[in-house]
Amino acid sequence: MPQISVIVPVYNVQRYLRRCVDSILSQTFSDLEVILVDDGSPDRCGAICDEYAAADPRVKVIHKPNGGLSSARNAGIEAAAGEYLAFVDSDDWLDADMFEQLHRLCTAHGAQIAECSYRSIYRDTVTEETPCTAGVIEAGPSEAIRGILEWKHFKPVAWNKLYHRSVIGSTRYPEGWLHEDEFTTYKFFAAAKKLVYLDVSKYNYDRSRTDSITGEAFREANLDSCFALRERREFLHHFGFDELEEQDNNVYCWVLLDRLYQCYRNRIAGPKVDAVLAMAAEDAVYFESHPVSPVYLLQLQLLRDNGLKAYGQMRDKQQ
Amino acid sequence: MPTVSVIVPVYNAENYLGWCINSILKQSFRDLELILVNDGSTDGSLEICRRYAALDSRVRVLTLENSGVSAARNAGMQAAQGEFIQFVDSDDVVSPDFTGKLLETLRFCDADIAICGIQVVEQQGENGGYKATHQFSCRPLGHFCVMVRPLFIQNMARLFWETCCMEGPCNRIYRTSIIRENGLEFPLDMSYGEDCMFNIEYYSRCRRAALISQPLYYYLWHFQHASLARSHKPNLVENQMRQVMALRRLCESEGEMTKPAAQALANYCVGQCIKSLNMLPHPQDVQELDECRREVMRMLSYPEAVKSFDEANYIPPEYAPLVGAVKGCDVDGILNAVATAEKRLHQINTPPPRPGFANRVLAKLFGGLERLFRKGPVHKWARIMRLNLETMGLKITFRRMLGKLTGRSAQG
Repeated sequence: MPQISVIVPVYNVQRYLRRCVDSILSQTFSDLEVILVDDGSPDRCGAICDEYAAADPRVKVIHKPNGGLSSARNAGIEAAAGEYLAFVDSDDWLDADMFEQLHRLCTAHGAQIAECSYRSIYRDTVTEETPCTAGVIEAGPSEAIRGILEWKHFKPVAWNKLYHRSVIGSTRYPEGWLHEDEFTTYKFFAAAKKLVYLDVSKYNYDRSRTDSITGEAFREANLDSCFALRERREFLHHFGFDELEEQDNNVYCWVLLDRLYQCYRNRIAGPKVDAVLAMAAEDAVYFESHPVSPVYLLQLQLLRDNGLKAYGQMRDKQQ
Repeated sequence: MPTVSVIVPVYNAENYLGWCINSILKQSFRDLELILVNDGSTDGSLEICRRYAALDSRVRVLTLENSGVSAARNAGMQAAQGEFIQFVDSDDVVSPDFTGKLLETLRFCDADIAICGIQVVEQQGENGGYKATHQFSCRPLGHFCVMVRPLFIQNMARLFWETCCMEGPCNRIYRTSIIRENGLEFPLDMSYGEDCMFNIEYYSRCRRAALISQPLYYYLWHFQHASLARSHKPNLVENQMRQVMALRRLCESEGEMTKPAAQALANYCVGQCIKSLNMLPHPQDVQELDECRREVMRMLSYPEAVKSFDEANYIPPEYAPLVGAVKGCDVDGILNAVATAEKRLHQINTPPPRPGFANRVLAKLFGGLERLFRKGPVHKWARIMRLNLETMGLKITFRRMLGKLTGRSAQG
């Protein structure tokens, strides 16, 4: 049984795939298996995956009909045999000792999830996400989820982490939704007893493509984060993370209102927009009896009473 | 024993040190040791050094009482176990093949030094992103230049003058044996130009040099550097002159310089003189003025420096009045010429205030003329006038126009 299963969903990335897989196969931690999930990719990716499988016994390939990023990751989870799991996006790549460090952190600290920092690669610059002070931070699930809320260490992204298979459990990525990590990562955190973060960047997050699923322009699918955060609110309440309630509510409201404002600015309409507006109307009532910043409650009421256009115009004036 | 020792002097660098160290350790070339020399930092730098040493066995931490960057580099060199040595500054980063490519080049050419290009990256605003601006490299001479000693010396002046990447200790790889056998060290008694002196001593011992134009070293300009007060460096001009004289001796060490080399050296010397004069602080009182005068007198006590103003064939146009002042050894004339040039450059480089009413009217007028006369001299003149008004404002435009009409050079 390999120590780490690395799951790579593959779709339409033939120009970047080799860079990604080579960086995994040349990791200093070699006791791993690589599961390449060819999600019905129309280009040469399927053939490239088979090449890798033929050359290295650590590589497994799953060819499946196209189902989206979440379904690809889920297929990988089902097939994974490792004690730990990791996700790598097929247009990104790793520094040579990333898994060695993450695995060492898990064993040394008795943690179920280890996270490192990352850098964003743009067309003409590189931006480090953190100062890389090499600090080590231990946390329980509550503090880790607070980290998600504050966008500090313990971020919601799926791919800069090593997960022990016990925290995956039956949780899966939601199929057919964008921002799938917003739906899932906090659930992994909640299932862990201990998490550890190392402030050194070891993951290269490619932001130079314009054809990735989170491209530049705002579209209706970007509203999916609202549904994710709604679910998170219910989850945190159900599992008794009451100390996070107010902050989570504030983040939820900010995202909800911001996404609706973006819909107004980009003239986006459709069934999802209507669903989110209905959600917002419910929330205008919900937050009368739950802790949240009064500014947001006011804005939700305004939105419910006067409609999206009026709300958008008010936000325009505020800029 | 590691093949390469990378030495990083650290002093109060906690904001950017992590990026520097990480960029060195994540290189594809693994067989190196990283020596972090903590020069008595009072911030969190030592803690960062220790954490990286705990993460990666290739990292060593030396501690000094605050002794200056030269002492720190010397301590690092003494402790180095590698066959080759590199230096990196604690607030810069390197490319993933910085060590690998330079070592490969050095070995391939059987050279004693390999030099790469430098990419300058500037932070746009206080919390802004970093944008690559310009490069310094051997490209004026070629993309991959290999010079045996006589040709290296012969081209030295040109290299210094045209590439601007020969003075610093960071964009290269050295052989430890040459440093140790000749007892080379960074001089402790210079507040400026000490790394150039070290390089000149090293160059004089090279049998062969290799230069590649590829920028493997990223010189980061952080926005907070702008607000750091220009600290007065003692004996600035003297150190600068020492450096230029040492370069001259090196260029003459293989026989008399060729005419182009002598010209390049003169241009370089003029450039260095101007640089050091620009770094003199603005005198606030008579005492400081006398101190500035003394610095200028020190410069004038080097006849070669004065002669270079004669021999040079490039003087930045704003500094034209400086030539006459230097030739006449006019101390106050020199200080005035530098002050005037600084003001002129400041004017050209700062964006003008919002154009006033007269400016806007005139600009509209010239714009109209431009459109009326589609081609020809009137169109050209009107276009130039309009652009001048828009970019430099009314006063400067008038002054330049007057200057052109009365046939004087851009002055006054």
